[in-house]
Amino acid sequence: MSHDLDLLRRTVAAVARIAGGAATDADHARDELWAALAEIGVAELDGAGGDGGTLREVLAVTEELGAAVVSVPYLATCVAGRWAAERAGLDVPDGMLALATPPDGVRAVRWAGTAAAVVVVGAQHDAAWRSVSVVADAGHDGSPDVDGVPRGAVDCAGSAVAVGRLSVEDAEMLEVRVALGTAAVLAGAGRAALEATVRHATTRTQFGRHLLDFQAVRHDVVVAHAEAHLAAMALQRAIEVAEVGEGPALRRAAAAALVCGSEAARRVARTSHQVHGAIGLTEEHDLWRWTMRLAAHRRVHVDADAWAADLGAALLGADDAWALLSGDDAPR
Amino acid sequence: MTDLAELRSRVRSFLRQAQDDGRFEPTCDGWLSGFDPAFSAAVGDQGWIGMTWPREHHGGGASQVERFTVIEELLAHGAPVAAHWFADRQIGPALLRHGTPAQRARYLPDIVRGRRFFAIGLSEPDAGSDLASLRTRAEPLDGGWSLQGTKVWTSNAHRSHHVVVLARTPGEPGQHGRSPMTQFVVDVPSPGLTIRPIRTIGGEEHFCEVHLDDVRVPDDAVLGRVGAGWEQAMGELADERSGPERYLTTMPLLRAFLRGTDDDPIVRADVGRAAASLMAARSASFAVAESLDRGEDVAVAGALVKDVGTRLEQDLVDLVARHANRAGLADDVDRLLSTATRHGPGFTLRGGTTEILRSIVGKGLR
Repeated sequence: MSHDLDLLRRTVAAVARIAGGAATDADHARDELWAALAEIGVAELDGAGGDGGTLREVLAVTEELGAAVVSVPYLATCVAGRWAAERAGLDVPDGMLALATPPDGVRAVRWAGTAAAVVVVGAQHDAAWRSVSVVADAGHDGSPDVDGVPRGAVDCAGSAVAVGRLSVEDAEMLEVRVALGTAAVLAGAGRAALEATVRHATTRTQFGRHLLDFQAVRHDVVVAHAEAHLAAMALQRAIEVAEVGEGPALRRAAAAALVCGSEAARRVARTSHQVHGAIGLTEEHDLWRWTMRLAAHRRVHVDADAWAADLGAALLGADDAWALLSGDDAPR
Repeated sequence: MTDLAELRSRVRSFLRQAQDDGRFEPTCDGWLSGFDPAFSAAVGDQGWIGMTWPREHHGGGASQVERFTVIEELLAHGAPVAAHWFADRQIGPALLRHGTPAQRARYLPDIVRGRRFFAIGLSEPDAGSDLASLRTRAEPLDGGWSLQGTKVWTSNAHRSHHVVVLARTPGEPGQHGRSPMTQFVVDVPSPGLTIRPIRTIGGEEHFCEVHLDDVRVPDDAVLGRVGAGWEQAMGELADERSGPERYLTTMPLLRAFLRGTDDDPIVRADVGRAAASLMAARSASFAVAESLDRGEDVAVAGALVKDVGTRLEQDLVDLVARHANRAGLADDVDRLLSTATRHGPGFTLRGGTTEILRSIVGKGLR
């Protein structure tokens, strides 16, 4: 099982490397990579079990693509969009999906204009359900996101092709999936940025020494590495909890993964740029692809502070907070 | 319920009962300053000391993750486990790795019963983070050794049955230019051995200065190989760095605070962020325990967990201090916060300072 997962990770990473090397521009690279992902059978997954693959597998692919040079909407398509549509009883076309979530909604939707359709998740209705719409993609007309991903406004009123309802439980699970998917992207992009940083710090020489031989630099890199490691551990734990079942314990574990992931992302991005110096700000170097992906994913779809508050509220006033923290209802 | 969950619940019941019986009051940093021989004996009677050691050596034959589970509960409840702590965590494993059959037979049964306590003499007045520069010497005699020197910050030496002393021994420097060192088990009391407790902030006494003036020990007081003491001691530190005592020291304070504080928009996200870090640190520490079960090298991973975990312990003190007055400062929170505030600066010093740990992790980055 873990051998298979490792093979899956390596295959996805290899496919992403090849697509990134072959293509001439971002649009081509994205289409090339998506076609390659379809060819190895991971583009149609939704992590719901069976032929859709496990959540663990889908998140592993998400993480590897987070580390890739080329950006594709895997989180939007395979972690969130297709699953949400299916739970709401809606069909979605094959291919890439864009995802629009409240409260940011439909104004600046990542991947709009490049996707087969946009899955729009509405705000909570009467605390009983959420609307999900599958909207034909109308083309991007907005400014690209910081990581170069195209964005556009989506016209729900005019072009909705199907509308369905998501139960409260499914809506909560969708939030968890988006949190875990985001944590996975952050883990992958953070890992790639750190690897580039260590590479740079062990080749670039100043004052006659490698950058990593300066204690101040080394310790800065170590702290970033440590935070990224802890965030990765929190994500793995959340996946274990998810495999036991849904509920409050999963929500807490997902909160931990996202909050740690977001904080680690901040730290990793700052350190990576500091160590790289000016070259890291250029398009000649790949660092921006990862650090800007970190910046975009810390903001879009998730609010780490809201997740932290959610976790804190569960613990404040608790008769035994330790029982919650040690995961009583989701034993290893 | 899984086996681990069942074990956790068994330890929890034991601790609740002990608390109900008034046998201990939760304390922060209980593994250093909660010295209670009667409680350690009770823990030993439960089979929770030396639980990972092989059965043929009086241990419980349990896994590292089972020990992890027991240790977590003891620390999260603020139990006074200092008396047996170093024997369970370091000296027992060292005896299993390097000890003679006679030494194992002499020490292990009483360690496991929670009746024999060890302190560890590493630091010296002029050798702190630069431990390799230590100056305590052991000179060979006919059938034994004479020890001369001073150890400092030796926790609970004055209440232990033995102090394990790392000393220089004669011989040519090894490949790193370090002259050989050897570990010795020194009985307390011994002629020539003077132990002076050093009062810490607030008046507690767990740190000791240990002065050795021609302390004579027999040959079979040598732990492991003559000349291999440095490698042995460093190996112990690397393996024992990442346990729950590196992130749960202040958990009793956090629990008391959370119990007495209602949900509040100002505190909520702050608590959530701390809890997220704590959950991540647990997972990382648990992963190291799993690595130990697989026999893997954990030097780098352990140093990383200790760096992050001990800073988190300090952050929890800060968190409670900033918000403690929202619901009025409860007596138990006040007491725990006082201890944690006074002990807090030490969390990132003992067992390798943060700076030393980062150097270890940094070497692993290349």
